Amino acid sequence: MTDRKPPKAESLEDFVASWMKAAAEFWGMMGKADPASKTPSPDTAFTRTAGRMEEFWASSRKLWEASVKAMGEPGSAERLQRGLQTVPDISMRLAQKSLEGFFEFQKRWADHMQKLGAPSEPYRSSDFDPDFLKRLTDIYKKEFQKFLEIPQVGLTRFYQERFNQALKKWNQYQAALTEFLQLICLPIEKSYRLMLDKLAELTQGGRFPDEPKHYYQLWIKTLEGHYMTLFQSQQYTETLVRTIDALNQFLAARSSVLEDALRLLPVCTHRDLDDVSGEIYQLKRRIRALEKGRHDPAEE
Amino acid sequence: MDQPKIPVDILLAHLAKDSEKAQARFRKAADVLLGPLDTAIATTPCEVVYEEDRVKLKRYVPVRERELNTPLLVVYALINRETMLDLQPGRSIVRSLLENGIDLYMVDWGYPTRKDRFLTIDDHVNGYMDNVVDFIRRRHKLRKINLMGICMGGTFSVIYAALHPKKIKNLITTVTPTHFNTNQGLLHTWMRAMGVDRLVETFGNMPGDLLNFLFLLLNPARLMIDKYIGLLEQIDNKEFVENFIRMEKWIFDSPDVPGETFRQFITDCYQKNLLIQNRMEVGGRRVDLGQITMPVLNFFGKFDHLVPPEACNRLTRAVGSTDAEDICLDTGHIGIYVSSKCQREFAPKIAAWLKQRDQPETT
Repeated sequence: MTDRKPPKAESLEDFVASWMKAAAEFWGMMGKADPASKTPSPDTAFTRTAGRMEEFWASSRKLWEASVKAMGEPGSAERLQRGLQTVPDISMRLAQKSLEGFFEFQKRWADHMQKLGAPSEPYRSSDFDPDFLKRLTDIYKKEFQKFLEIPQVGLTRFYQERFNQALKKWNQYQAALTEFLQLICLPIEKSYRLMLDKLAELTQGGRFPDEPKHYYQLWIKTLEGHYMTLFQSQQYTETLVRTIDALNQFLAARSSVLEDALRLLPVCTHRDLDDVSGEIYQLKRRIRALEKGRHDPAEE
Repeated sequence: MDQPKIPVDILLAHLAKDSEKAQARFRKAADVLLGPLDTAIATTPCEVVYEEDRVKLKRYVPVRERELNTPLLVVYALINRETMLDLQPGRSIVRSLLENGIDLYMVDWGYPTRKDRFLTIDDHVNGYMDNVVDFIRRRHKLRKINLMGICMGGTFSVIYAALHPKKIKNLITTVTPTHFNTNQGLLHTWMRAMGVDRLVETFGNMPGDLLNFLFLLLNPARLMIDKYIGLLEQIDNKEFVENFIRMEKWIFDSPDVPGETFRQFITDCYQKNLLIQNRMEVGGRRVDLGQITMPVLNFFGKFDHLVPPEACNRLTRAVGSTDAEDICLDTGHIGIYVSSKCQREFAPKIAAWLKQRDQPETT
């Protein structure tokens, strides 16, 4: 009774053992199926190649047998099981973070939408919710961006890293652009609201304009006022600069990926051209200085 | 309390009337837009007398006998094109200056390409501009010529006049920023916050379209909405449409700005405000405004939102000249060159001012 294993582990070990056995038989058959291993032949290029193939199969078989032996040792199956369990773990974590982010987004969005109907003060951009998009960006940065920052390995690690970097910068640029667009649309939204207030006021006073053009003039003047107020705010300047900076960083990251691709083609990259242009520029400057004698008093 | 009465019937009647008008207007607009339109700009005859890399020097064909001994060289900004001074026959500073008997030269900076990204302010001022000035001096056998700068080209002209005062007889600056530490213009506020190094590293040259986008953002209500509503209201007016298209052609003809020049202009001028403090260095030489001892005429626009009066009006106090005059016109940045009122004042004033200071100085 005491040496009985739990049924779940037992079945896994059985499964692993039978799978190993089937795989070993397969590799053995593959090795035997090689014609070069059956009949001795004269030393030709073909037989030399066939001999290398046989060695390859033999090595593969040995490696496999060693692996099978290791897997057969007590505890290996459990380790495999734990390893396999990490895959759904990662998936679960990703899904969980996605859902958390989505719910947060939904909540913030709902909060923001509620504010749309609220009365507005003229020429102020103070009811813009700067936290709304910032929170979303934070969620992205904290929960999603790190997956793009997982260290890359192997021969192509630098290429993968640059690709991930471009993807990351693209996401950051999109976040910054969304924030900027939301801010730049705010005066339109506010001017409409203010127009409604003004029209109500005019109607109350019995001064409702007859000409539809007057409404447009009233609106465009209000809109201009809102924009002027917005543009003079520190918040706008910061958002504008952040957006341009994000665009800039994305373009730089994208260029790195494109340069990787261009290296495979017989064309120059921007960097190559800049190097040449820089050298030509320096040479031209020297030649001009020599030709001109810039500080020649006779010229003055 | 009674509900306020909205005159819906009157409003609807007006809308119906407007709709009829609009229909008639658009019927006529089809004829205008599908017919021949004269939208050419920069049509005043000229010849290219000097070329260096992308830079050209244009000399305009005189339309009357010369009244000034000293030719005038006009240096435009690197942002947008000098065609703004010659938009159409009735609105052309170039023609007005020619009609006032001025022998006129103009620098065409051309379209910088990627290879021009390393060109600095030194290359533009002590390189191209100096070569052009020397060319005109040699051609006319003169020691000095007259120099007129526009916007950023005016800043270049100020730097040039300070570094080469012996080659300039009279200096005219128009909408020229020299004092950058001001909050009057949004551009000044934005440029101070801009991370210019990274921009230049990424783009090489500063894209003209990106700069234009920033300019549009200075007043989107007027520049992106109202302007085009105005066009729709006058779409059946051929002359209006032609002029509108001419202006659009000029506005969106935006060469890129060489990267290193842009970097230095933003850093030294907008962010550190070195020029007005006599601390800016160009080509290893300090730009001392006190060296500007020739007569100076300084124009700026009272309602200029790009280069506000405060950015321009300190120059006359900073230069070493005893003959320096400010002229503030009741207009904006572009209005100085294109508004009908300024057309009547601007070029004649320049011509009269230069004539009073045109003693010959031959080599």
